[in-house]
Amino acid sequence: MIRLRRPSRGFTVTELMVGVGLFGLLLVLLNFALRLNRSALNSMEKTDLTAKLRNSSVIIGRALSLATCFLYPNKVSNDYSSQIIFRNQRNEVLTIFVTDQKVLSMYNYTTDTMQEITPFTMSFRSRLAKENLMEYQIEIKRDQYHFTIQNQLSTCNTLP
Amino acid sequence: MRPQLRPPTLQGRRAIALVVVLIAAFCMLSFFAAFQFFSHSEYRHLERILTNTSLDYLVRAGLNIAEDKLQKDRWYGDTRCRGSFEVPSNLLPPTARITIYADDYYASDTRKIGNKKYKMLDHIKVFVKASLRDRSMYGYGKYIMTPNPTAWGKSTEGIDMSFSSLNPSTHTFRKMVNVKLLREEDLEEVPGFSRIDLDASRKALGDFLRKEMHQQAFNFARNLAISRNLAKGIASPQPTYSLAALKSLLASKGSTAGTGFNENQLKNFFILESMKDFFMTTNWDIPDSEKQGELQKVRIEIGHFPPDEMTADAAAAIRIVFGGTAKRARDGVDYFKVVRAGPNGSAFAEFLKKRDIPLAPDKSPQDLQEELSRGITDFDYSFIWQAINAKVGTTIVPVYFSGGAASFILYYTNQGTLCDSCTYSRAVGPIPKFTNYYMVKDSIYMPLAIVFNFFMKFVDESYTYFPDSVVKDEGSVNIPVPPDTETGGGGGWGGVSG
Repeated sequence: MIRLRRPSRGFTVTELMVGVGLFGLLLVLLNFALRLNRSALNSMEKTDLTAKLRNSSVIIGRALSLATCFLYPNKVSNDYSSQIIFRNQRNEVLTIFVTDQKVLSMYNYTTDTMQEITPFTMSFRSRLAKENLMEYQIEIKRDQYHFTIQNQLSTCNTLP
Repeated sequence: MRPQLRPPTLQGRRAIALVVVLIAAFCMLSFFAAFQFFSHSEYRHLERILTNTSLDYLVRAGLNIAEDKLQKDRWYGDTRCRGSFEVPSNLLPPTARITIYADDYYASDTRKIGNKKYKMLDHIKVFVKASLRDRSMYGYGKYIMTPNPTAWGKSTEGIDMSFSSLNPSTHTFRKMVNVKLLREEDLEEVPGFSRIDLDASRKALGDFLRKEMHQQAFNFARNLAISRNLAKGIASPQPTYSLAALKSLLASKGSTAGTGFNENQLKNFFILESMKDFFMTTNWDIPDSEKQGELQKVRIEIGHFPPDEMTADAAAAIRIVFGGTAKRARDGVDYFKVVRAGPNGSAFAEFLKKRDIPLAPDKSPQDLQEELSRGITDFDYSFIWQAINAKVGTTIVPVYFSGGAASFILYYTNQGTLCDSCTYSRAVGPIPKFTNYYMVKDSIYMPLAIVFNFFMKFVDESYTYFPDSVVKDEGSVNIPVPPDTETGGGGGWGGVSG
């Protein structure tokens, strides 16, 4: 009986098929992982932007809600301004505005200190909706993401 | 039968495949773990932001609830000078909690009414602790009122403005002021503070925040001019500014340089400027045009005072003793009957102008309050006299002092004939007599000193204290005093006054 010897080198068709199958599966998984990664990055960016927006609203809201006086805008109007100038609870003069570098910032003129609030700010708008009720909108944009937040708040430290 | 061994090459390939699969599985697991970690940390970040926002609102709600409750009364005030209140959980989101603490602060001076000296309530410090999940935030507000209520009882309404009875005043101005939000980190800086539910900790926090009041008055003074200029508007505002451009814009409206005022001047400046804009209500959030209209209705009036009816004899006697004509109070100089809004602004601004009160008087607010709140409406003179061996009808009286000013003039000008000698002593005058000014609008008629008191509470607590004992009993806050004993002149002398 002649015994066929298997070659010591090379692969059988089955092995190759299994190899190709595994490789294909890995490619599919890799593709899935890459897509997931891209989507995660996008979500991360989106979450990061919304978190930034929320955070900036918290910072602005807290500062404005304790203001003693709104200096600009200070007349009830439907027209929007691009800044808010106010006196805070310590009667320091502060401005919320957008810098040339598109960063929403809060500048304390009395202490000469600057706080950067949100990057990628397309616009910041404010108006006095009612006496002692300030409305503001922040619009931010990064790549394809574009968010706007709007808030209204009153202050509890006004003076006559 | 001997087991057949697999060829070594096949074993090697399987080992490689296993390693590849293991590495691939590890990469996948790492990726999912990282993604999970990222999602979790982002979720926590978002949750923190949401919690902080909610806490802001909870603290403000707590302060509003406290103000609302205090408008009714001091809920804890029957026998205690401080108390707390837990907001019912059914009104709050799950896991949220709001606790309100209120501490009475008494005025250092007592008020004498009838035969008792009453301790008076100056203000109430309100602290709020709001908790949500694992985080907390604190709020502070100062509930002020004028006229002052008595420390005894629960009311936050002031007592009768004439201080002749304990009846409630017709009007009391009350407001929560100096509101602040404090994070847990902020409280770490407060010396002596450990827990908000401890009296000593709240006292320490109150003392710490008192320093803020000075800063507030200081910044008010230094920023008033620029504030007024900015309120007039900005010419051609831009959507964006470089920092340099913004600084230059603000600088064109005024500087924030210090005023050089001392502490008393800063406090007085704040009080006077606030009173200029005060239109006799604590609802300050009305349109500017309406505000101006309300301010136009305010006037300053002097209270009722009896007419200066000096008799001719009294005037002649004063001329003899004091060597000149008796001084008389003049309308428009020593006092102003009515002052209304005018070219200098509100009635109070006009009043300050007429009285030559500087922008920031350099004296304690209490001294300024006393000076400002009353006008001189009369000058008094007094002395005592006696005639020795005076002829009274047909008899000689060794020491005679009856008959008032006319009798004094008779004997003084006829010494040697009608009496041996006529002398006078304890000549005092001119002593100014004061009448209180009132701030008036519609039916509200309030002493100026009491209005001043309201704004003084924004910036000055030097005349108040935190009672040591939480329990108050009537005897310790309403203190009986013996009735005043009349002190008259010595015997043998007659008094003349006018």
